[in-house]
Amino acid sequence: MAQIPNHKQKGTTASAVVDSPIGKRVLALHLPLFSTERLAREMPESIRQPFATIEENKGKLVLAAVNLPAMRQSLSPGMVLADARALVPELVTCFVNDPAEAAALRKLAKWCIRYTPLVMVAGSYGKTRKALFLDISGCAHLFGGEQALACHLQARLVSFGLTPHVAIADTPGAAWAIAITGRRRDEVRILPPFMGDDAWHALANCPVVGLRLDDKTEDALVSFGLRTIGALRPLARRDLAGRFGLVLVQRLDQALGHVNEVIMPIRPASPFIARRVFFDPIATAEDIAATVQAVLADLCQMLEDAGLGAERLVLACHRVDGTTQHLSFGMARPSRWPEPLFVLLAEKLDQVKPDFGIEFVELRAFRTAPLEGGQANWQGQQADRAQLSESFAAFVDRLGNRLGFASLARPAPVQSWLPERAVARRGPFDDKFFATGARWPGGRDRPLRLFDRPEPVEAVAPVPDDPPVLFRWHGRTFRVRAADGPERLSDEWWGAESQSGVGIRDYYTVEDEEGRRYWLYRDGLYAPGTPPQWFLHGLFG
Amino acid sequence: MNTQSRHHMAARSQQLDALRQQIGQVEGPGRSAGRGVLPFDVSAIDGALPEGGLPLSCVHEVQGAYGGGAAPGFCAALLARLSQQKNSLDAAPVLWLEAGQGLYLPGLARYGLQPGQVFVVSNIRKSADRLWVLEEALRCGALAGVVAELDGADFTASRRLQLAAEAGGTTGLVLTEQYSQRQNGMASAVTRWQVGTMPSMECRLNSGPPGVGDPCWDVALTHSRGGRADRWALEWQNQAWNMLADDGAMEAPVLLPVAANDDGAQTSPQIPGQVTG
Repeated sequence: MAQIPNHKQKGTTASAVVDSPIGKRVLALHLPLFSTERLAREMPESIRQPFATIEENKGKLVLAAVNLPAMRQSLSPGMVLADARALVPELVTCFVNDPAEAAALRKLAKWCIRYTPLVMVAGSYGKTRKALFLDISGCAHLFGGEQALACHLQARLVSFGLTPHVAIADTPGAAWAIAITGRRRDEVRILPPFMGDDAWHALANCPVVGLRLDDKTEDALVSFGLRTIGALRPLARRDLAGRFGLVLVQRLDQALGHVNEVIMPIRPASPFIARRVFFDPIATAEDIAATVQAVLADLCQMLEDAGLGAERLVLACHRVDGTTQHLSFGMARPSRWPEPLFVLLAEKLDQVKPDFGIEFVELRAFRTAPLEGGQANWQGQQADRAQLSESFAAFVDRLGNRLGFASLARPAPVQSWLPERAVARRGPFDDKFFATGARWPGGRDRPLRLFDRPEPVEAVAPVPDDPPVLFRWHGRTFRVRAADGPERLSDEWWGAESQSGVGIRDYYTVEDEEGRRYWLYRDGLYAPGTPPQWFLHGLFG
Repeated sequence: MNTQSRHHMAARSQQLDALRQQIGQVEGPGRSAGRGVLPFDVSAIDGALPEGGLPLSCVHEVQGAYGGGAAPGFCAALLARLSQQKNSLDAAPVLWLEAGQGLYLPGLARYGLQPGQVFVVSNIRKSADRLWVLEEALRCGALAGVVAELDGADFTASRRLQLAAEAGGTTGLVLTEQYSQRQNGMASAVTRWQVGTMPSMECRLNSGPPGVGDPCWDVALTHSRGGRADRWALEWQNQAWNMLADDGAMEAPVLLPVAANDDGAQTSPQIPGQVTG
């Protein structure tokens, strides 16, 4: 239809229309062959021959994605592998690696941040899987207009060996509908901002697959002869919702811009940015430290005005030669106090390599959360306690940034009878959990040291259910002088993980002649004829 | 004449006080009085320590046998008492810097440490990093006590630790488990303890109720500035130490060699954990 303007042929009028600064503009990037093209980068020989990725679907092996040579031989995704092999005997296949694909797509999405900070990896809808949404509202003019931006993006992706279908529209839904109906890899399609009924006209000829529906709804629509979005227009919403589900109506509204659809960016953009730009690049350690102190003061002031604290700071040092060094700093809980934060930053400043000089220092705050007042507002004993808790937070931050936050934990009880499962690691400031007053399971009778893996020992017990009288461990013999037990511990019957293979254990606390105390257990119930298995699991104080 | 001599006496005592202060400064951390002590509530032990208890805001060393639980237990007990003393309102936080053998937190309940109170730092391989963590933890001042499982600390490092403990007002316990003879422990500790196990009351008396009962420790104070070295048999019962009466079952206390000099050249003839069966 004529309503879909194809801006392949550049025109000044077109770019004047599409560069409207008002309203949201979304670029949809559809990569129909991503699955095979990703592998083609690792296996260059697969570019020329028919190649497909396969997956298991309802007990059959079907093609998940195909490359161009395979497509030319009329293979398509969804085809059963046996049929495809009959058509193209030389077809090379490889199983789909979903995590690797998702990681690659995410990497590509991060690369796209150069066009806009708001990039989202689209979910998989029906048969189409790999797509990105870029919210380019207010970004296009930086690249000379939407047409230029889209062409730039497309040219770069083609140079990566990908087949991008790019479309720009007011809503993610409309951009998506246009992008996935693209046929040629060099095609860029731009819908001008919607006015009135524009949206219906623009999408009228798009097949219903463009509505991001699941396979079942799509098949149902097609079986009713509703092949295009335009065919849905005369029908009552009530009937559509009743017969095909609310999702259809929702998708339609999203595509037409009747409801707002939020783009969840892969990397949240921070509104808290402080920067210093230099006419003369700086390079000395003193200058860098002074600059960082200044931007930190600015940032802390911004956070204070907003009543927030940040859990993460990223310092970006932009060098004269166009490269950027990023240093990131984590805090165990939100903070905006310049002094302790500067101590934190100063510890890593020796890693800053100015090379030819730094022309631009930027400090961004992430993961912000509400933070009340300052230490100065507290009085008396409360002030002392707030001071102590601040100094502890500063210690945790320094430890975390130097050795990793994972090295510090606040072990917490888990209601499990299995000793190895009774402890969980929690974050140092998870006060809410500990406020509930949880107790350790098992009371006082637990060892001070627990082995990660119970160590097998040879034990001699005169009567099956009695504690051992002696045991050998690491080649030494220990004579038992006193014992407590048994305490029978096993999996919880209610737990979902009760099939962990841990059976019944009878634990004994034994003391040897020297007074050392051990936690031994016999694995399983006594069975005549089979020697019991004994393990040493812990040491007492 | 009389007033003149009284005046003379006052001047002399002032001079003496000034000199004492000077000596205190020269002697370094652990001796300046007034920072308080942690009493053991066992008269024999408190009497052996110069100020009637474990000096606070400094670093002590606790030596134990590798794989033994007595020395960690002794540290846990001290930690619990430190946290009770530090803050009467609620359980003050304590830190345990572990070296590899898994510390099992439910086992600390016996010594009076509650969930949420204990922070654990683990998986730090380099001993320099562990020293750094201990120093920072002592200096931050928010912790009631710190236990660090270390291989040892040379003179400079232990001096730094003492200064950090003094600055933060935090008491540190360095737990060295002797798994090799080359290990020197801490070069300069305010007090040094050797803690081993001994058969519990029930076992020694061969009477009483069956079962293991309360743990008994063989605690030796091998070094204490201004105090005297001694050795005691203690039982840990209801979160307090009980001195065991010398009923003849225990051999007369034999003093372990005292590491009197601070250069780390200390001998450890007895390693309680390595007795072969």
